Amino acid sequence: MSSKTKNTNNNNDGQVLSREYFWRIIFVFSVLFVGFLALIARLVVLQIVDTNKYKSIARSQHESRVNLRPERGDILDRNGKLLASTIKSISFAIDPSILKDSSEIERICDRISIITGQDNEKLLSKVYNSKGSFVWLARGILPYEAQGLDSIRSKGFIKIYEPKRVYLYGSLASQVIGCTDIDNNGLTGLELSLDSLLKGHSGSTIMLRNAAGRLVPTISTTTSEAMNGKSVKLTIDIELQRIAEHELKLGVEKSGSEAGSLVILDPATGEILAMASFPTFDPNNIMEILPGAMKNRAISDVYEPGSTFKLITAAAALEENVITPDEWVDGCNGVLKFPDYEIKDDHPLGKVRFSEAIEKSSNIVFSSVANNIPSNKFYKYIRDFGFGLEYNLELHGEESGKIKPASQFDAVSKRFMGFGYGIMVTPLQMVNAYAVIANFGEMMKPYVISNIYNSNKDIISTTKPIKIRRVLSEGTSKALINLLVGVVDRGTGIAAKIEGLRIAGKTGTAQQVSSGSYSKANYTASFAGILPADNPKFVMMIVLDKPQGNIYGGSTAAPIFRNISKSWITVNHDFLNEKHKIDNTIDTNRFITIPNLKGMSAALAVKLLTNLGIKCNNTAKVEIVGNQQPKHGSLVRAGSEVLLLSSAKPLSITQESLLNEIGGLNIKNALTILQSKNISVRVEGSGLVQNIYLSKTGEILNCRLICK
Amino acid sequence: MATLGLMLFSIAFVYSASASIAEYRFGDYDKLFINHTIRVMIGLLALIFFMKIDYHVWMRYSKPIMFAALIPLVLVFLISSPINGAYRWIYIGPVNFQPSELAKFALVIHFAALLTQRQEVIKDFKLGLLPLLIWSFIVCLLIALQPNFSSAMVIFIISIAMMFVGNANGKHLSVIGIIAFIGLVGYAVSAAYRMQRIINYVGMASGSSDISDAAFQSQQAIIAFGSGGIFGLGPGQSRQSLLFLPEAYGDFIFSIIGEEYGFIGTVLIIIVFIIMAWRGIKIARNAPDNFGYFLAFGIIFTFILYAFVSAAVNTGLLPTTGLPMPFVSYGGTAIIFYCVAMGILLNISSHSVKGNNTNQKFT
Repeated sequence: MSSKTKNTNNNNDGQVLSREYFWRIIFVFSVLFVGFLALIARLVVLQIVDTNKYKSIARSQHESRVNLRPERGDILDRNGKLLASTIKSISFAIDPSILKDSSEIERICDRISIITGQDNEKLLSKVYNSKGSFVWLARGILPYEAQGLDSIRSKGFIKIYEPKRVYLYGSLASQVIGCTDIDNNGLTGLELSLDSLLKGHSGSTIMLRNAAGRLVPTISTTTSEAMNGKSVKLTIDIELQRIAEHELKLGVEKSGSEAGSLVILDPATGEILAMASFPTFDPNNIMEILPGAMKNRAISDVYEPGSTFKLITAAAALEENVITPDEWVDGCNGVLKFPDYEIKDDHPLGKVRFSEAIEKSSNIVFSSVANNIPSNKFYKYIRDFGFGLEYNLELHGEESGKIKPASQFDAVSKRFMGFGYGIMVTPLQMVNAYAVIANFGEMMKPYVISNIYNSNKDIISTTKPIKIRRVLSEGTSKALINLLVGVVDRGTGIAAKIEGLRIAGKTGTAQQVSSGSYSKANYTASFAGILPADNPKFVMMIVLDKPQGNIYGGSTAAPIFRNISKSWITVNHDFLNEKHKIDNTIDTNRFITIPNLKGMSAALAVKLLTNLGIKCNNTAKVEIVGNQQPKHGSLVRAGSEVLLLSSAKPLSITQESLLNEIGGLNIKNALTILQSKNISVRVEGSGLVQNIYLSKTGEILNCRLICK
Repeated sequence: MATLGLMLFSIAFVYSASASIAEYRFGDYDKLFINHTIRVMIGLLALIFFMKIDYHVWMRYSKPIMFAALIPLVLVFLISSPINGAYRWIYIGPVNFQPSELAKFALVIHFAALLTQRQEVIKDFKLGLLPLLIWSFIVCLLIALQPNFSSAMVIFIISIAMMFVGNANGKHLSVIGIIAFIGLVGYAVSAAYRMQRIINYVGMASGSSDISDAAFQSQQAIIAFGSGGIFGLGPGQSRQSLLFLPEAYGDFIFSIIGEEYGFIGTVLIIIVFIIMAWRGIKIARNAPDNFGYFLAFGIIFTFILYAFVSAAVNTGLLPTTGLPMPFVSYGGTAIIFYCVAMGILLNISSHSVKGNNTNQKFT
């Protein structure tokens, strides 16, 4: 073992090399061992000391945050009709750094310009002059409009699916609802003031990404769900709004006014049933908006009210026993002279009872009555009726108006305030002042949002009517209503009269200040009305700005009240009767008219039919109702069944059959049906489908929807 | 035993490291895994087979084996097409193999034989050392020309180490070492990509953190280690193997182990290799004769050196080279050669003369 033996060649039999040299092996491995120690040291640094640094680097290269876009909430009217909703749209862009083939670019731009009506040359120069790698061509194109573009699959031609806001009633209530910009951010109206609510929260999920850039789904990563926006249900009744806007427009045009506004309130609750401003705009097309059209005049126009303000003078005087309705007052035969000013009446009165003075809207009488009310009392009533303050509606742009402090009340200012000068108000303040007497002396807070729903359509909040204060006694209120009934029956408001109905109202005609003095050219004509006077269902305020020719509220604004009221009563037969609840428990002797379910989601159809007391058969498992049996309009016994069918195949689409199918539907539902039939569509107008024109180019059916 | 455990680990490692790449390339998660498992099975059979063969056979046939190993080393330039610009693989039907793997062990065997035969004259440069040097030079040159610089260098280091252990003159070896170093520098500078790797290596050492194309692999490997932390992300949870590390299942498997099993896993692997080294040294020490002594050393040194270099490259201690980790990497035919070598080592072990050689003498 220890002996040193030097072997001879080829002797491998039991001859062992001297282990003297074994240290060489130990030496070699010691070097390696030191290497391994260095290796472990390195691992300690990498895996223990600096691990957090590398973990974050790893995270940044593996994990890709994918934004989950929330759906913007819907806006519904008080009956659940969809006013604003979101649909899928496609946006197109080009990456000029990738797509360089000019013939291809021209082909795309040509298509885009046909679809959007943009100038082809401008589009092309936009693309060619861009040094960047992203040029928008068109945004928010609805899928059915984008035909011919889906088939283009050039590299560098970018298609992005984006949600697009649609307003199903077009310009109706547009100043209230508002509109969004192209990125679905609220711009005006409720879309702006409720933006964060409607928008929801975008969520995100972490996906693993491999080096090839592909996303690899993973289970163990953190996902924050997108919180879809909340939907809001308004107090607005879109059908009443439709009538109101129609009549307002006619009234404005007839009187030659520059603008007009209108508010309808439910006095018992403060719900705003309709709120309109003219001129108006279509939020679906915000590129073409007239100046001032976005202004919600009903809350942001301040004006001197003139005679409609006499209500407040009368209320204060009656409540404070300054006067009684039957007291004799002096009309001074139309002119009341003071050393440095005079007050005139258009309809001179002599000695009359107070009730007649209000019917004839005597400025002189009201200036005298106002003068007899103690300043602090008069101020208190003005304040109690809500003037000089905002109601803090959910809408932006509400003005507070302007009233003098009680300390500045003097004989002159009181006399003029008595018939509505020297004070600035908004139509909303005025209508709510009239709502006070319609609600027997109690002021309610006006509001426009009744319910908020989460994305599962569960109610998450309900606005309860809020009583602000009692302004007047019930007796005084009733007395005032009776006085105002006289105004409509016999006085200046006779144009608002509807035979067989007791209507309370008050006209107003006010000179506007222009360049420092009251003008004989610019007037504000207004009318406030309560319907019906004994059991008020709504209170309406109409204000016309600068009517031409006939400037009186009684002849310009009062007829608008009358027309709206008449139409509304005609539509709602039970409006004037006590509301009776419809018993939906199945009474098989009852006959029910089948509604049109086409275009509705099956879930909605089921709900609707169940409410009506009809069974629903969806054995065909349709998602969107394409057809139904029996047809809509047919009478069936309660408890019978409606069969939901998918849409008929487009084997024999005729203009007539198509109109039968989609006539009267709103655009969204109509589009759903037409898309399912692969019919390309162009929409004209907004609202409900009135008529269609069918044409054929090659294999493709084109349909022009005429909507109103 | 250590060997067996390492091989079984290897199957799991390769599976988790290769799944994503296999899916990406072949549309099949298991493809590389199944291949590897088959090879491990063949390797085990080979191990058992060669364990039964008396290692003295290799001394007798060392020269033919050496020549046989040179043939594919030359052939590789003639019949195969380059992968990534290098002639490293030969394809025989479905089997592909790296001639350098065979040449490596052939050289070890032949060196063991030559050192044994020329032990008396080993201190003489011309008679003793020169033949060894020539063999080493031929093999290393052919491999370097593929070009596979790193393998050539590692094989050269093995040669020097074997000469050193074979009692060669220290002065001779020093001179050879200096000459080799000068040649090495010249060779490294002669090719752009090697230069780049070295620059990256130096740059990385000085703390530069930008991820350039060439440093991508080493940077990704280091990220893998780092993100594994102490305990790792868990088996199969590697994210770096999602194509960030181009050869996660091969040369860079150690970093994936670091990512999935953490510091504990990597240190465990190192410990296993150290135990293997310890066992190998004992086998060499107890070898009944010089040939067994040299051969055992050569084999175990090859193993451990490869393991070290591979791990060091993975951790960024050494410049990026393509060296698999013995028994751990998905190395194609390499694993079979390692098994054969392991079989030979175990055979030497079976002849071992523990403490004294009386036992052996009477058998």
